Amino acid sequence: MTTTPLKILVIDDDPDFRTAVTAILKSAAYTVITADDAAKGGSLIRAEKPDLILLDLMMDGLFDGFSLCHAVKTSKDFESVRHTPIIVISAVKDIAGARFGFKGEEQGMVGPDDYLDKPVGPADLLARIERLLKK
Amino acid sequence: MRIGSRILIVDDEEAVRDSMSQVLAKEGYEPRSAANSRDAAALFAGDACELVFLDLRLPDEDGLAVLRRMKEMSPETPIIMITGFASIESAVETVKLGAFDYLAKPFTPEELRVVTRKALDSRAMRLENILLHRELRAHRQYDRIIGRSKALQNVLDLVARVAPTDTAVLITGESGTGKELTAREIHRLSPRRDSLFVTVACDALSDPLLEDELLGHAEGALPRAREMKYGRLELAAGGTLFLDDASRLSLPLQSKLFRALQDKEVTRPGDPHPLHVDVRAIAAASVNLAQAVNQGAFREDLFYRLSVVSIHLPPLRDRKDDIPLLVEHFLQKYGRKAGKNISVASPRTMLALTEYDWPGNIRELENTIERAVVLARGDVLELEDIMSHGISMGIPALAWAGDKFKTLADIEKTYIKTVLRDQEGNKSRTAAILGIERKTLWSKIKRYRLEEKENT
Repeated sequence: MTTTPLKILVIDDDPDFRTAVTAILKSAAYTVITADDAAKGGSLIRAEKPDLILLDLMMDGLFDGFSLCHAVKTSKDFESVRHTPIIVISAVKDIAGARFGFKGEEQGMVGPDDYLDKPVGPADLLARIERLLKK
Repeated sequence: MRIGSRILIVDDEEAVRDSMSQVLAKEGYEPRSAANSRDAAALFAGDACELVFLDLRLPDEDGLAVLRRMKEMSPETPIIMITGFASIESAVETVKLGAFDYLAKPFTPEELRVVTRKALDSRAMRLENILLHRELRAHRQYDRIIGRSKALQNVLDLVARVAPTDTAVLITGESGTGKELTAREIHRLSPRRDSLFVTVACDALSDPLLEDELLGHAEGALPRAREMKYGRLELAAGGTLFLDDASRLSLPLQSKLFRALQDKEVTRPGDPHPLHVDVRAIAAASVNLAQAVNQGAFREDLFYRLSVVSIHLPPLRDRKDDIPLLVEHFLQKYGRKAGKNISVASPRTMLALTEYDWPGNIRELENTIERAVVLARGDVLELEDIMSHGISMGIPALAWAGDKFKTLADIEKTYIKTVLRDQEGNKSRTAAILGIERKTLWSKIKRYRLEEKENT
């Protein structure tokens, strides 16, 4: 009980989803912060240095989840938080190829650490988060 | 690792708090308790509680007020009211205010265990439902194409036939006729539906920016941008690339795009390695692209590459039969958004909406309804909601029939008809509004044959 709880940032423009995920994560003793667009998410990442990020790729705006994910993994602005694991919450099945080589180092591309490409239940979500946090 | 559910107990009787805590702790839950509303608020805000037991009578505040506040802060947390036998009736009331259930004192440990489990299960199920029923974005619902008119059915037939193939499609039509919606529908019905639909608004950006958007760039390729950037072409890989207003592409960009589509390869500026990209292209144009080709403004090879199949969307004035359906759809859409229960337009309103020529097509209709819904006072959309706010049905719009100006006589006829209808055919009032003699109005009605039309 003495360890500080791990902090998770949820970036998604769907308020219902944020509410549900927040409740589920809190029940597993995580601290949760949320942002409703990629730009706010970006500033929270730098200010709060979360331990893990849940990110919706397809939000409105030119600076969307893709841009943010890419910035975190490559930009100098995010150098200190580069290794924060990112789980992407969008149906992006089958498009790993040219856009985010999953870990396609051969092209120097980087992508999220995990995809939720179909809806998952609370237990599955928590399991995936734990797996990434253990690394 | 999941830890026990945190349960907050708020009751001013120490004996009640202690015995409840004991029972719940034995079940593996993590109870914590507060004797008054102030302590409860602190625990509730700081600690994510999964369930709250709340005494209806607290020393410092009414339990109802606490219930309301907690529900506002955290609507998904179930709250069970604790009540004395005497106030069961008011406890029943609290359920209407959002309490999950109530427990009447005295209660047995078994009753406590049962209601706890029930509340926690229901909460877990609700959260799980939100997670599981969330539409993941690539599949998220967009507006569907609406209408039963013959003109639209022809379009939909073509869409259904072309969607499963992998051919490029050129969608033409006036602005606001639904070109993007049609492109999305083709994507939705295609084998690529699980991949992305990526839009490039060709008229939104100037040339170097548009090229950067389309092709991206390698690290250090541009003086301003240190980091590499994905282009929309590669983002669309496996999916559909929608080129909105394709006629606005510059000739150099047209040639780059043509090569990318032809060779299924794109090279990010500054990057020596070409990437394989397999996209289906759908382009939209509101001007005649074939004519642009003749004038040398659009590359012929790209034109043929994009227009393997072309679909022309009729303007709204050519599918007026669909206006009532569209109005109904937008009323529901924006009524819900505005929290109003407007689902119908009055016959008078519908008639005016149907008669209007809609040079801005469906987009103009949608904007009109959206604003009217916000301004409407009743449950039925009235003519005043549309007319009196000087929105799109004003005189300038009356004077423009899509591609040509109307004559003064046409405008006079339409205007007289509109006012006459608004005044329910009353000639004296109509003449007064128009500022003419009744006799003059009569002769105009006769000349324009307005009376006869009125009766059909």
